[in-house]
Amino acid sequence: MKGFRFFRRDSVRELKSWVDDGLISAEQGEAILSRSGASWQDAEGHSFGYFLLTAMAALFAGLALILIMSHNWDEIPRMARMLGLILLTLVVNLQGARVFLAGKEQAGVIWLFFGGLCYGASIMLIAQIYHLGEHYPDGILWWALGILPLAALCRSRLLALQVLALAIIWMFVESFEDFFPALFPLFALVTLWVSLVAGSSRLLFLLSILSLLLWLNLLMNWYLGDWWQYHWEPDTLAINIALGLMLAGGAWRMMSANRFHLKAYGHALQHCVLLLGIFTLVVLSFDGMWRELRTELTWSGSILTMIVGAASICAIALSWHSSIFARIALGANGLFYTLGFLNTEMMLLPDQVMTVLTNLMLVFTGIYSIRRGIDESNGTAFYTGVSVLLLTALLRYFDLVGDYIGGAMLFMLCAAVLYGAARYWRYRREAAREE
Amino acid sequence: MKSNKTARPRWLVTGILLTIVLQTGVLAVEYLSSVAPLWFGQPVMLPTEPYDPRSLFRGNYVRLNYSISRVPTDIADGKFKDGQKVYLTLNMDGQQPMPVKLSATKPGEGTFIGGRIRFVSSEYYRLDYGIEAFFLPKEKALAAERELTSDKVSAQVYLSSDGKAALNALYCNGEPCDLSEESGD
Repeated sequence: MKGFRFFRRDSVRELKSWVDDGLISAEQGEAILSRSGASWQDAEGHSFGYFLLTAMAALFAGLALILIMSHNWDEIPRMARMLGLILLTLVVNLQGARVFLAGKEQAGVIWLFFGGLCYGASIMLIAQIYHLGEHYPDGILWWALGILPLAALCRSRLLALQVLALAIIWMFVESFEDFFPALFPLFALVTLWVSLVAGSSRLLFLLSILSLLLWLNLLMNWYLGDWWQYHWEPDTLAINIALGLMLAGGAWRMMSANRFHLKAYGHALQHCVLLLGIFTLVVLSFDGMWRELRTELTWSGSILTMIVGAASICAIALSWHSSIFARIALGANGLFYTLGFLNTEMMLLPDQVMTVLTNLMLVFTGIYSIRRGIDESNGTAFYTGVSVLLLTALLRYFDLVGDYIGGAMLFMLCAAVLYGAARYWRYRREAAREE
Repeated sequence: MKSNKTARPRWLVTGILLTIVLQTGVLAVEYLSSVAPLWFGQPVMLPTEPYDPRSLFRGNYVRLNYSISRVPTDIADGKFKDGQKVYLTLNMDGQQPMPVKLSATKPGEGTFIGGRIRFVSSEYYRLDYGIEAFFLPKEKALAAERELTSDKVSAQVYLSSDGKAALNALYCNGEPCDLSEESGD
């Protein structure tokens, strides 16, 4: 059904012709469409292109307005400038409300989106006229807060994206000013809710989840800095791994849901977590990283082991109704990281063995992705797998684990694992053919 | 989202209108809190040194560095952290306001200005008062950067009774600065 999304209009037309030719009944056609979140109206083409371009036009017009205002027309009296822009904000928003409430939702949302830009420009204009320089991130916060109810009330993905973009900018500038953006989850949770109730927007869904993850990292750093400043410790890596495992479990759970949008979100989230997981493995695959992690941790390794272990169990439980391969992947990752953090406390294995195991995990991730790519006709997973294997080979060729002999032994081990996987694959294919 | 002609629930209409009222309210509060010190505050002339940067949302401005932006630690009545809100009491008897005492609590009497600690060293605190940016059209801001460094520049600031400061105008050698574009050529 992945291809269906990209060729929705053609697919629905094809299905309609099957119904017209009597090959399938209309009910069967509708049942097929509902599996992919499509409807018969999709055959007529939809106005998303028009909506997208109009939204872009509104964005460009809004940026033009902010730049015109930035020119600082000090020849025009303060009051005239200010009242002019506030009046424009009011008129545009009221027009948006009128059009939206009259049933023209797309047009109404575009007006409200432009109204949101006018509102932000008004905040900045007042700051400019009265030379407000104290803590400028507050202006962006009030801008995002002013649009947030509209995004929730209209359940609009465009307005939610506008709010989330502003909230993320605010989170960054507030942090750069050494303040903690405590209100951020309010924005991300509302936009996450909009992405779940307002139809498919993987961009909004992923941005909400990833920005929440970023905020949690800021929270941990703020906590480690005694709630006064940001302070990074490598312990946060364990918490991120635990969160990543649970997100991966949640993604598999979503992929087994009946709703098409949830399935699509699950696929997007799973791929995103996979990329973050590969990045983590790549960082840990360098010689000396596990030793550094062991010596730099400030929390007890036992606590971190328990956190990662508990997250692994949660992740497997979440993915229980998915394929056996999902549970194997989550279990292998959970076991590897639990062992890794236990090793930081108890030194069961030398650090270099952990480095070898990390590189083998990269190879297993590559094999797993290639298998998934071929078995599920998933091009993204296939090329991710190939890229991971090539990246591992490239990194280990330049950054040797141990000396030349150590590096060569690692390559031989990887070659054996890859060949073993290939043989197992051929064995399974032949067994399936005989059945 | 497709066109839907059915009647809208009352909560949706009320919610959207309330949000528009909220936006207008935010703008009104921002405006009133900006002008309140100018209407009811006490004018003070603070010596300053300008230079010119750009804000992404608000255009060009002259960044003002005040003599009271650096406060020696020996007039502080305690140890302060970066980001902490503080109040600086000013002695208004001389030609220019002089810092007398830096405290975390609002002084009960005298002229004082509220600020925030931005940098801490063993010898001094660096403070921001929210009056460090004077917004101007780009050409005037560039002219100000060139011209004002040679003049003795002061900022006319209004202080409200709770220590909030509002920047009103720039003065060069005691007169309102001529920041016309020609003056910079």
